[in-house]
Amino acid sequence: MLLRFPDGSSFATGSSQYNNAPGTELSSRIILDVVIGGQLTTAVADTGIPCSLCSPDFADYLGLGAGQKETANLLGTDVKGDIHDIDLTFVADAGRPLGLVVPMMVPADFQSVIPELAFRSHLGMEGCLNSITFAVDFAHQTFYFG
Amino acid sequence: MEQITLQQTKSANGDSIVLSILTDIGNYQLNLVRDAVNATPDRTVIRSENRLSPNREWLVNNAGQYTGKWVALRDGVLLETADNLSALAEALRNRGVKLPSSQIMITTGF
Repeated sequence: MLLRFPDGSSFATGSSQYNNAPGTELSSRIILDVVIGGQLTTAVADTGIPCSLCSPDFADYLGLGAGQKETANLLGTDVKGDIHDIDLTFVADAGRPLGLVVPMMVPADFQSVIPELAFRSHLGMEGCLNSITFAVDFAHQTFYFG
Repeated sequence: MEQITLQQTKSANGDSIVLSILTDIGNYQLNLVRDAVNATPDRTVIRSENRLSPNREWLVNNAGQYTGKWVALRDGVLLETADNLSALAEALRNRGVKLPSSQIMITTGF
């Protein structure tokens, strides 16, 4: 069942189950199925970073060239990179999928970034998590979005 | 002569369009949800409720064995694995797979 505000309007229009990767270093993370630039993949939902990140490998794979140069502070480290507006779809197990165009940074100096941030795609706040409504049911490993 | 009038309004919460059909024999209302009308039926982004997708089930059970690697999955079956994404893409293209794909999941191990 999807979530509603008290007036009956939709809070969440879709939901997906995420696995918390039991037994691995990512066991506490929310790893979602998403379609980025037309490719079905996984991404970490992360409210602790200001922008979404696309790994350099994945950016090459999608054929992304140079973007708008920006610097973002990621976990206390200033990181330079290229910003691209990329189609992103939250895959839905229930309800409807949610499509957005999200600014994603491709870190240029990814050696200075925490390796996990450079290796995986991350869904950060600006233009992504802060532009939707979302809720997490940790007990049932369900991510609601709308 | 029978007359039919159509009226289009937005629902109170803005989620949908209410199409009112006014006729001589009665009035009817259809509540049309825009995304439901326009949604493209894509089995990769709309799944049955209350079950893990095959790919997700594979990840839960196996992704920990592929930390640091890239894997390609289709319907819960491992197609290819490689140390980097370019090698994985090349292997898939050699199989005749068109990329990027919303049908085949490409991801890192966990």
